Amino acid sequence: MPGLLEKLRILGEAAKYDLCASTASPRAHTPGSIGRAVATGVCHSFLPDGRCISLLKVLMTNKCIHDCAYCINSSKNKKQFKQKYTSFEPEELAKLTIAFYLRNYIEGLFLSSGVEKSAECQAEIIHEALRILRFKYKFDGYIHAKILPSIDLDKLKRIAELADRVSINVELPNKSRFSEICSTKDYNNDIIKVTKWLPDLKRKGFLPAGYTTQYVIGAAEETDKEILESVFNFYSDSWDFKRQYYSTCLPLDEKQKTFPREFFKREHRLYQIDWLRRIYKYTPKELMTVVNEKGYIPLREDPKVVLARRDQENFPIDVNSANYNKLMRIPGIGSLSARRIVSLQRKGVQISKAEQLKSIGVVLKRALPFLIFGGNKQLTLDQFKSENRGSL
Amino acid sequence: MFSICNMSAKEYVQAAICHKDSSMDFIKKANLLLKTRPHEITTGFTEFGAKVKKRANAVLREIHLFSAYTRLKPFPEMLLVGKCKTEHNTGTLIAKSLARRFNSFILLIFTQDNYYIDTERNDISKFPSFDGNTDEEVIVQVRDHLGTNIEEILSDDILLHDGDFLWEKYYETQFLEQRLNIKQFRRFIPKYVLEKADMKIESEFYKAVVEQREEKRTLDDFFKQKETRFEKSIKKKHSKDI
Repeated sequence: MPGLLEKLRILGEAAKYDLCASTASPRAHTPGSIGRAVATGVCHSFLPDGRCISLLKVLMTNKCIHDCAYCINSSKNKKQFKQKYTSFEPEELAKLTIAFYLRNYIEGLFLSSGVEKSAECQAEIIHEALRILRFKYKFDGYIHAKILPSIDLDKLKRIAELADRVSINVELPNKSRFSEICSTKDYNNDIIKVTKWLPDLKRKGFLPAGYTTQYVIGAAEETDKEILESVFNFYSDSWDFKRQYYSTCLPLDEKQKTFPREFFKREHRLYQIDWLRRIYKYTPKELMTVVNEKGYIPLREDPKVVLARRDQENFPIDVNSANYNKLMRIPGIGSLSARRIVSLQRKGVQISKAEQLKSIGVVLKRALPFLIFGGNKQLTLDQFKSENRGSL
Repeated sequence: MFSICNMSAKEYVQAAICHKDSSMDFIKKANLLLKTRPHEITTGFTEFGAKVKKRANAVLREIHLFSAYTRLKPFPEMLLVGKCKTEHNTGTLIAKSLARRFNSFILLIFTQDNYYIDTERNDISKFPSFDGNTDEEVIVQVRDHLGTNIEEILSDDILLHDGDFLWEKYYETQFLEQRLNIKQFRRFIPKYVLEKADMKIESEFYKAVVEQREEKRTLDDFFKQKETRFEKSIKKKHSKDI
């Protein structure tokens, strides 16, 4: 039986592909407890790959009966990759979480798991770990629990009572794509059925930090169009997902240790579209126009710039008179700089220089071609050519 | 406590006061600006407004970074001890910020020239001054004081004495070499923070990864890097000309 160190190494390694970002939870604090989950989470550590590890991200067990092609722990890949298999005891995991939390290494726990015997049984073990953590050790930090496909409503409810956020990975955008990579789980009956219970639980006051999902990009032959259709559907009011994450499917043998940054560009563009939907409030219809006829987002250009270029009727925009929604459409202007510009407009302050925009936080190289300020606008190369042609 | 986002002008001024370069004259001017034209501070629109904001942001950044990255050592007497080298007068605020997070504990934070103690516990709000010659002596005195004033004791189970070693091993497992992105890492944890917040584990791992990469570099990599630098300088020059 491996010791705690060996278990941590194996089960940490097995969970490293899972994604988690936010640690913010509006849950009320219990006085006298250990830790606090606050509305603005803090990142406590980063890896040289640029990823944040604010949560202790581990699996409860890496033994799994499912045969997902992209997963190193799956029964399908068991023979090819000779791995050691182990599991945490609930008590062990709870102590480890507290020990790391008190040393200010983490903000909370991210608990996922393989399915050793059945989803029901595994959910029970996950629940026990969370129960010990919350009640025995009075842990009041952030907890993100992965929901296993096909668990029943009662188990889901019990985990949701203790966690700040749960997530269930849909992995692929639809049933047909899902069946390309996994034969032991059914997309509709095991994943979507469980996912449908989440909005109702949230409405009843469970899950203060909401629920999320994750896609594995490039595991099947799925197109960006298919992924975006699913993403926009899950962001609609009836589903109300807090976030959706995208993770490029990496080769399992790890022979190729490094990849050019371009390799992750597809994932990056999907994140950009995701932000344009959630934060910048572009409509799904508008965003779908970015996708090419083959069903993919062009990798060469930022989708916000592409959309702004196409919308020649509304650009360039006068920065001193545009409202918040219009400002948010300008490449290089985010929500914070848009809010600052609106606040200046209200105070009657006129922006007349590019340096002023820079001090507000606007990314000039992206924004200038789409802006008018102080009665001037930057000439773009296209306009320069056409104006010169006219004079000739 | 300050929040890092959506700050009011008053909060910016309060933070700017803790900046190492803030003189009495600066504080007076900042307070005057706060009374007359506060929006100049929140937007950083004028030269002085921008200066106040810049100083405030430097202070808030330091509090945020050190609250996040200062590693703590737990002791059975509900005591958490951390060390960091601050640039501004932020020791009190860092201790306060951490005490808020660990509100049933007593926080003892050492900076390069002082120590700061804070807690949100109701049973022990005031502390005598501890005057040990070394940090270790102060810790002993604080532990003695808490031992006689607090009944609660943390069990050895929770303390997990090899916690730092376990974290080191866990940290290594999470690294995805295929995604190596040093630029991003440095953006989140600047080099000076690695040293000043006493992040030994992260610092050593980072060095090992970067040095290993340097060793693996080929002549092709060297020319590629040179080429991209050249392209960048041409681009920069071109944009300046425009």
